[in-house]
Amino acid sequence: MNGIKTIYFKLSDSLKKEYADTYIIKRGETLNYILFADSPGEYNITLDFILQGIDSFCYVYILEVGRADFYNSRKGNIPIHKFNLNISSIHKSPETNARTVVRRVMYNNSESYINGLIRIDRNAQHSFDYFDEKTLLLSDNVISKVVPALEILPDDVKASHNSAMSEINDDEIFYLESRGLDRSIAENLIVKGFLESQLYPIRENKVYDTIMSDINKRFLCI
Amino acid sequence: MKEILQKNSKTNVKIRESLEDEYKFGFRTKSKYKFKAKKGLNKDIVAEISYMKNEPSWMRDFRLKSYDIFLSKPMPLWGADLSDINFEDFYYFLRAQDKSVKSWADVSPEIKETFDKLGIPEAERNFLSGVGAQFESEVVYHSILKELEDKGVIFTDMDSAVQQYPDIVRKYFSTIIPPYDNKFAALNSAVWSGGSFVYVPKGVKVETPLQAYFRINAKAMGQFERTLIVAEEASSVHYLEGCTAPIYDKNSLHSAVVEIVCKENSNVRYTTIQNWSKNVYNLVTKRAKAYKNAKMFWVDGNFGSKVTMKYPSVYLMEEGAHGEVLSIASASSRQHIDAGSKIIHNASNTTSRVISKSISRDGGRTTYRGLIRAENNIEKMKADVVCDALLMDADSRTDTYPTIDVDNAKRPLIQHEATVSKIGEDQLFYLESRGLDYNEATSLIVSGFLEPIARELPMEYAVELNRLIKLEMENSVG
Repeated sequence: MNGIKTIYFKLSDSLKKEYADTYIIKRGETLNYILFADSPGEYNITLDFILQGIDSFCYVYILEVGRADFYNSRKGNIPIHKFNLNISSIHKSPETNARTVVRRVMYNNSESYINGLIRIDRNAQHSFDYFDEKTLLLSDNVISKVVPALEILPDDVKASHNSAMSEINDDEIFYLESRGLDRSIAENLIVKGFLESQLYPIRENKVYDTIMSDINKRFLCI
Repeated sequence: MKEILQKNSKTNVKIRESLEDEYKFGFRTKSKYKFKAKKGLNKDIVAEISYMKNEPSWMRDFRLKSYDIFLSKPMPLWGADLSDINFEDFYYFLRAQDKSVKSWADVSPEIKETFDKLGIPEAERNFLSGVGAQFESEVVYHSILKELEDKGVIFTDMDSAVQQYPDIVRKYFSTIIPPYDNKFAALNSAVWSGGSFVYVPKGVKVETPLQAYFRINAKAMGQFERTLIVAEEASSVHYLEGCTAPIYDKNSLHSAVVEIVCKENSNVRYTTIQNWSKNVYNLVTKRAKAYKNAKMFWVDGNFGSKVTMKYPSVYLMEEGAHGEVLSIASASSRQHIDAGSKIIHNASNTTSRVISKSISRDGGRTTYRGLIRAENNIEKMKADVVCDALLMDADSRTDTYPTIDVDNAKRPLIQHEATVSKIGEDQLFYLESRGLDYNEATSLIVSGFLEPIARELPMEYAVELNRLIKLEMENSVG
């Protein structure tokens, strides 16, 4: 019956720089897909999510941490972070739901290009889709290009996207610093909250702990 | 209950009537032409247009150079379908009257009839500072209030401006949109004719709007007006344009270029109500450059045309500049409106705002295509984009393709959001339960949907816009 499938993919697990995958979500199925991209390098990733059955649901969460020369200062080779992501959710049948969340934290001179497409086919009435992209900038040298696109053919659907980008709020940093935290720890704390806040749909899942520990490892707050 | 039924049947009759006369500007008037260039496009036609206008040699060379650029550029492959356009099928130059006149009485009777039907002289009397009316290729009538003329404001047609104010024209002409910008800008540069030239001197504020009115009357006509607006320091001006054409079985082409220079502290507002008939290709390049603390507003209403591709853009060149685009697109059957905006942040502390509202119905297609770009190493820019699309029925389509491009910007703040929806059942139910019928409720909701833009229009235009929406909506649910 209703299968809930959760896929957690950590980019540093794989050395593949080119990566393309298509997921087909059938009737009544739920797919949670979490991609944690925090390793340096040049990546080309294409992900297609095809919602093919009535009442299928797809939750995609992309966490990108762009730390161009964080690791490689130790290793001594040229540090880059160039992340190229094409992500699309395609609704092929009625009453399909999808939500794509992208959270990016960009340090140093990271580069990131994101194309997010929502396509709802003519017969996919009563579908819902939301593409939500937010970026936290921790550097002045970031290069970013975001193209969220909507292609909507039926009329009785809800589809939206948003894209926002800003620095860490000075007030938040001030609040934490005034309580005795270091600036770097305060930043880490805010970034951690920023990334974790969108994990709630998979809170009940086993994978949740793994992802949390991965985030905790990356952003030490002590 | 009986009353409601009666009321409904009355509106049904009204709807049927308005369906029969869907496009109210579709009439055509017979005109004798003083000069009509041969069909098609080649170097001789370009040279002939220049000769007919008795232009200086620099302009003639510019046209010929642009024609070469036009030939070398490929047709755009993105966006709307332009494969039906055959450049040999159009008339590139039609002269309806010997020269542009300043008094309404001197306009030749056939042309006068056309503009009288469109209500131009009436509008002028009531609320405008100046009027220009273009019939086919050239401006046939223009006028401006005496007070403004005394203050040094220039409002005339582009052809006369080349002759009378060569220094100003030569300084700014094609500096904002060079001919190698895109294929249609090159085409316009080669065969341009007519359009407005507005020059507002330092510190002068033009309180009521200047208006230009563009009319295509002939079959298979290409209209290529070229507008240049120069707002000097601390000046302000509001320019309005409206466009209509009759319905023919052959397509017409409208490819304008609009260039605007906003100097320090100036304030320019450019409003378009585009209502071409559904056989016009509307491929327009519009761009403004805003300098220190200048404000540039585009208000862009697209209701007519077969295909529209138009992306008004603002280049924010110096600190404190602000750019704003408010755009409405409404597409019904056999229409594809591909509109949007481009904002290029080229300096620190610049801000911009884009609001786009689109309505698709009866199988029409609207597309929002936008760009927000923060150039290298600028500090503290702010951009806010909101796109809302309304789908009226299951045959229509809407797309949104925004691009947000940031290069090494320091402290940027960019927000973009877009939604697609239909008219809410609960909203309709609320209004219907209070005694409005379906059509009234729908047009009320749509008017509310467009309210942020209607608010920016001058009073008379806002009323006109609401009326237009009502008319369109009645057709859509009839």
